[in-house]
Amino acid sequence: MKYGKLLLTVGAGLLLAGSLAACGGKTASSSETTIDKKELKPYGKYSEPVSFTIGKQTRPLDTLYKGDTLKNNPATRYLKKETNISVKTEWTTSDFNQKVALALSTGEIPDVMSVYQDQFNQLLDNDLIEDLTTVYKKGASKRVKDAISSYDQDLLGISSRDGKLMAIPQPYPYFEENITWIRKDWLDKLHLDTPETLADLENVAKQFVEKDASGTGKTLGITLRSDLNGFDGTQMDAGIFFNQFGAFPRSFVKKDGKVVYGSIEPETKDGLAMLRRWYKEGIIDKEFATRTDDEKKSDLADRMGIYVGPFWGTDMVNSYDKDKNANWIAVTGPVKEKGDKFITTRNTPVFRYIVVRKGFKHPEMVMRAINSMVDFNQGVGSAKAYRKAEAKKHNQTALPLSWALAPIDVNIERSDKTPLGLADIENALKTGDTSKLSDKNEASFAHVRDYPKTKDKSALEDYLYYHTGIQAATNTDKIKFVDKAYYGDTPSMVKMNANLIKLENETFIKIIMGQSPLSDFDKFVTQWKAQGGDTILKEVNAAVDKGEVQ
Amino acid sequence: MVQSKSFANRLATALIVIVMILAVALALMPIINTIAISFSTGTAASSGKVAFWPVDFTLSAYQKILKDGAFWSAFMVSIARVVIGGGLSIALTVLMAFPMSRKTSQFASRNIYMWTLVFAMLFNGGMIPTYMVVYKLGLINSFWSLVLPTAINVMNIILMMNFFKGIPSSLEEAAVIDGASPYRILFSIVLPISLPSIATITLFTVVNYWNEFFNGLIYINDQTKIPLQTYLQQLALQQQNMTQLSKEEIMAMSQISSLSLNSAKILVSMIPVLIIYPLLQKFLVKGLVLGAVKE
Amino acid sequence: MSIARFNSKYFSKRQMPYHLMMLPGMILLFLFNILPMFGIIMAFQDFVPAKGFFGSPFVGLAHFRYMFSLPDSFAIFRNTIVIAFGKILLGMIVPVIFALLLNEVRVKKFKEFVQTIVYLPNFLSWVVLGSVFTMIFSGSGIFNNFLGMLGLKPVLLLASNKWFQPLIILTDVWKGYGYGTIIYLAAMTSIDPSLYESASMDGANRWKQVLHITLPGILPMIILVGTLNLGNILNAGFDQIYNMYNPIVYQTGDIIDTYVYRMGLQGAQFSFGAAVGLLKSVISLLLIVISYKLADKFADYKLF
Repeated sequence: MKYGKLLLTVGAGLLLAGSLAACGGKTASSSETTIDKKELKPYGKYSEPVSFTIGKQTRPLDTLYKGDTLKNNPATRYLKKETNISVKTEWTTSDFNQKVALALSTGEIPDVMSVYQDQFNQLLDNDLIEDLTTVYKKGASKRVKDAISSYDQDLLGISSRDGKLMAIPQPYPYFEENITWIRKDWLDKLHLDTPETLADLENVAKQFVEKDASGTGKTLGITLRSDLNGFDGTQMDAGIFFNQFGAFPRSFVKKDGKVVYGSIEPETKDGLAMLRRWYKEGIIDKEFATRTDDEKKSDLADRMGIYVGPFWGTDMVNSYDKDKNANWIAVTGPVKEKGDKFITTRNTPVFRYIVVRKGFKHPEMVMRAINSMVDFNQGVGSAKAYRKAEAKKHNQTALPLSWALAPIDVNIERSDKTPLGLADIENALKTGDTSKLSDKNEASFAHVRDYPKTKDKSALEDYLYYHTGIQAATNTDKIKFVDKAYYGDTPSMVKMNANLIKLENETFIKIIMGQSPLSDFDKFVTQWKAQGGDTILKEVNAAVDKGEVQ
Repeated sequence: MVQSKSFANRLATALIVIVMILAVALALMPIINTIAISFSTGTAASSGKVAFWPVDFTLSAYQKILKDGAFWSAFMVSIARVVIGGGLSIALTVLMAFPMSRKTSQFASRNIYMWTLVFAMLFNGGMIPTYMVVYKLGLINSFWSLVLPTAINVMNIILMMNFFKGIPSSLEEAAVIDGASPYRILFSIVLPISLPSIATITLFTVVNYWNEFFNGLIYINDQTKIPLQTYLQQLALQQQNMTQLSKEEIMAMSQISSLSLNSAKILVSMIPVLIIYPLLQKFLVKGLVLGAVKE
Repeated sequence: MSIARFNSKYFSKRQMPYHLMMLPGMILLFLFNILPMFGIIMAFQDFVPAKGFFGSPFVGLAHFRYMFSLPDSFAIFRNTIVIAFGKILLGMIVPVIFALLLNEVRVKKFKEFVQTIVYLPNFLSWVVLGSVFTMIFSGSGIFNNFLGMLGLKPVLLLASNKWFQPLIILTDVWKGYGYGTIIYLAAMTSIDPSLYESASMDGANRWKQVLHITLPGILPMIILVGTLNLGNILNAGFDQIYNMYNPIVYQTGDIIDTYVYRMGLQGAQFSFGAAVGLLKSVISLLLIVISYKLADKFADYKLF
């Protein structure tokens, strides 16, 4: 009997404790944010060691020196030395969306995170992040402010809600849009000119396949992403083939004063018709929808001579191992008709948002850490000498450490950093003066200078960028940039977009692969509108009318 | 007449043996293919030249694994999980199965417990509420989150319970008359003759803990604490989830991901299961059958 | 019932050891299985974590209504049922046939060897098998190389809405049929051997013996397994599909569990995910109760 009571009591106690626990939610610490006015300045060293926690995406990167760790490497040491701040990693994950959603469900998030658009919206809706207006105004360094204001779009506006700056934006520098890479040695072998138009490219691809330019017996023409349109600047994205028709699938663009959804516009049908024909004629890789990225990249090594990617998308470097004569060039194209400009959409202005937990005591500390890390990643200010010294310890010119491994994974650069870097290096090549170069650019400079002589593979990528890739990507005379009207997610999009995108992908891929007739496009348009697309368009138009971009 | 019958018989036997050999081949083929790929170069593998024998034989994948700290830390987490979690789970299973194998005349609450267990097995609150409980208990990022939430496996309890039920009651009767406590009956009479079913449960539990990846995915924050299956799953995921990577990462990815390396990792991850399965296999038939089929 | 009588019935001193044995396990069960069930409330709310269960607004059945308004919901339920049904059906037929054949093997060692090997895949995780099958069925994998040798065109099964469901079913059966084989073989050993003796004296050949003795002998077992599986009709296998599918085959491969996962955990639509999950749980529970009753009635078997 005693036991019985005991059991009942224990049981009831558990039930009570448990129900209370399960009802939780209100766990955000009660501490108020108090900006330390004294410390509200871009640079300086705290007198006492201070720290904050961060949640990060796991990086499949391995650019650390032997002996260095994610917790202790040149970047963390620099931050500590300059500011006395250390950053504690609360979690790292390769499935970022999921981890943030889980953290959201408990209402307890790390002090700092660098999040994507979806999560930014969710965090705002849950009122979990801090207003950074003052912190940015008084605490951001000149370099950060200068970089953020170098964009055509209003990055601060995009990162604000109700006039309050809710995140420090990490922008996507310009000129990282896709261009076309082609094997010049194959063109020469088959006596073909460098293609300019879609028709030229079609012919080149056809010749490559028919005449087996690779000599493997299995030459491929052009391959595409398995989901056709990924995000901006993804390798093998089909976007540029549509763009030349004035079609902008998967994008909201202005047309006749109104925002339209590119995928349902008639121009997209033209693009589909062309790709469908290309697929049928064997110009497009028959297995593009099912091959993994890995396989496609290994195809680039020997059996593919045309490749759509950004200037830095140099997955074709392995072909130089297989074939001594391999020679890739980048082309600003294809264009629709001779003399046309190459049409391409601009990348999302804000790639990621750096947010601070609501109630975190010293947001000014985060801003200072960002300032310091931006300097470090770009190798400017006091970081320039520091980086060179660290690299020298390992007998290298430049520190290989990626910004993504820094204590805060942040990189805020000017919109025109790519042409600026090119100009710096070209200048140094002319004058031989390297004093103005950052450690990274100095290394690139040496690569570009030495590759033709040494043919050293480690120098190849830089050589390709600065020798041909960036020239093609920044050839503004020949490019017509189209800004999207809206980059964000409206409430209905959050709910319904996953379904609509699924519908779109399936329809488009089936049309291209000839599994459904081209007329299915019209069916898709009706379906898209009926399944929530109309609502989304209305919301997007309303948002754009209010001046929102993202 | 007699001869033709035996001929038909022999033909049937031959056909059956062929089917059996095919079945064995089918069961082993994927594993052999993976072995072959793991000993081939990455390029040979991704260009599809490897079937059941390595092409351009190399040990480089295995040399890389030996130096891969993340892989081995995940491996050790999984080992710890199997040993600690498995031990705990088996102990709890035995402890719960025994009272449940009693008749209601001996243990009046038996049916209440039974239905609670069954209800808990069939109905659940979903991932998010479970996550919230684990969080409230302070288990996030703790090794125990890999052990405790899955420690109670109702199917195993039922299996064990049915096995206990099958034990002839005459064995216990003498002890009961001697005034032995339920503990003594369990530990000195029932358990010693339950080896087959304990071996079976052990096999199931070990394999469950070894193979489970989802809890590691959602409960663990620190990459050095994730179990091996979660590690392998993330490896596969990283190659799909390219949309959220930056330029440097995409570039790095193309250098590290290699079919043969991943195959080698998969293979090493199978080793513990391949060791423990044959060891416990001989008990399996007895344990499984007695648990499932009651007299 | 008075407290004293209640206590003496359920908590008599004689029974206390049993309660104590149950206690540790019940605590874990309560914490990790029962307690989260209160979270189901969120299916009827617009759950905002910051506001908690008390502060979030109730929206009644709005999430369920939205679910039924989605054209995909039908496809997802259909996929789930088709895949699960295929698995249950083939998962019964294959091991029965295989066990009947294996039972005819007279060499004991060989019999045990086959039994051991075919049960082996059962112990490999879907994480591992997902990666392995992705390799095998990829464009450059051995499956397509084999088709090429036969002069056939390559087929990408994992990226084909025509083949994905059959492939999921077949690989699952491949992984699991060893278990069923063991069960049926065991059931066969309990068949009275004298039945075979008298049959062969009557001149019945092997085939007739299988048909008239072995098969009827294991029929109760088959019925039992079949009815018990009924409760799984909405369990198409999260682990397997999660590790094998890709956006191209969402149309045929997306099942309730993967959908809930993507909506609830990746999209942070907690309430909507909970609503879909709840519907599934309720239907499953009903099916289990029915199958329990059926098993009791037709096979005279009480699982618990």
